[in-house]
Amino acid sequence: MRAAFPVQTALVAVLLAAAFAGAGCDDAETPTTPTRPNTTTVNWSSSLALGGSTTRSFATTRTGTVSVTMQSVGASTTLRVGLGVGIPLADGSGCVLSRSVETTAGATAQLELTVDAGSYCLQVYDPGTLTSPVAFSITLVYPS
Amino acid sequence: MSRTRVVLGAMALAAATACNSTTAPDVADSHLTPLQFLTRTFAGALQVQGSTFYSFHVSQAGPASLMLAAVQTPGGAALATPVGIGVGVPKGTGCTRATAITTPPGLAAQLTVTLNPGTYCASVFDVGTLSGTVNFAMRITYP
Repeated sequence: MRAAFPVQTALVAVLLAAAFAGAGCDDAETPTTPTRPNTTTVNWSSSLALGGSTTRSFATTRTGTVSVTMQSVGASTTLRVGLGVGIPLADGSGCVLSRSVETTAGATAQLELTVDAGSYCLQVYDPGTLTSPVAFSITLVYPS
Repeated sequence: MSRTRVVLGAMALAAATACNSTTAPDVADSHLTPLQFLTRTFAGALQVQGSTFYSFHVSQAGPASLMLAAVQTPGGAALATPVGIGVGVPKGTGCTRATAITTPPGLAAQLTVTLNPGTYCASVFDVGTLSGTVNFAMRITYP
């Protein structure tokens, strides 16, 4: 008498079930490259008056690092100017600096600081070193 | 039962039990209301051994944060001098602080507290670190 379910049939069923179970799931995810937090880069070029200051604002949407690099101050590599980051006053009357440095131009960020989401201002000022107006160029990177 | 039925049955059972899928919770019935935050800038002068405060009204329970953004000389030079900041309730002509810390200025909130609806005050005060009057600016965010 033959068995109702021969051994061969059982083996086929087990093998097919195993293959089908593996193929039926879509859990295998392709590894993805971690995304870098978004940042915004602004190149700001303007001129600084003798004894003056100039300001621009920017807004961040999350906590992160603000990086400020004074790329050039006229054609000089030795002239020092003031560079600071702060918050704008509510009445629009100015920028209150949280941190500032007096610096020459260079390729490395002269100011780096952690900020929360919000509105901020970047200021360049004459700390008393200018003898005439000077053009400058700044790279500002902030979280966005 | 035929062989075919046995094989198909095993495949269906395997497919049904092999996937450990999860179902995202249904949030359609959520009644949570997003908090609305207000931001105020409190700026002024702080004298040696002095204190000053700003009153604000919280309309929803939630987190309030204080960011001592700047401490400056009267001439406007940024200082890293630590001073005291705190949150409390207005009392008479003063502010009775319930929570306070000493912190240098920075652009990330230094003090966060959870507040219920009501009137509160944010205080800035000298902890003995000042040798002259300074200007300060604080950003207050509250629901």
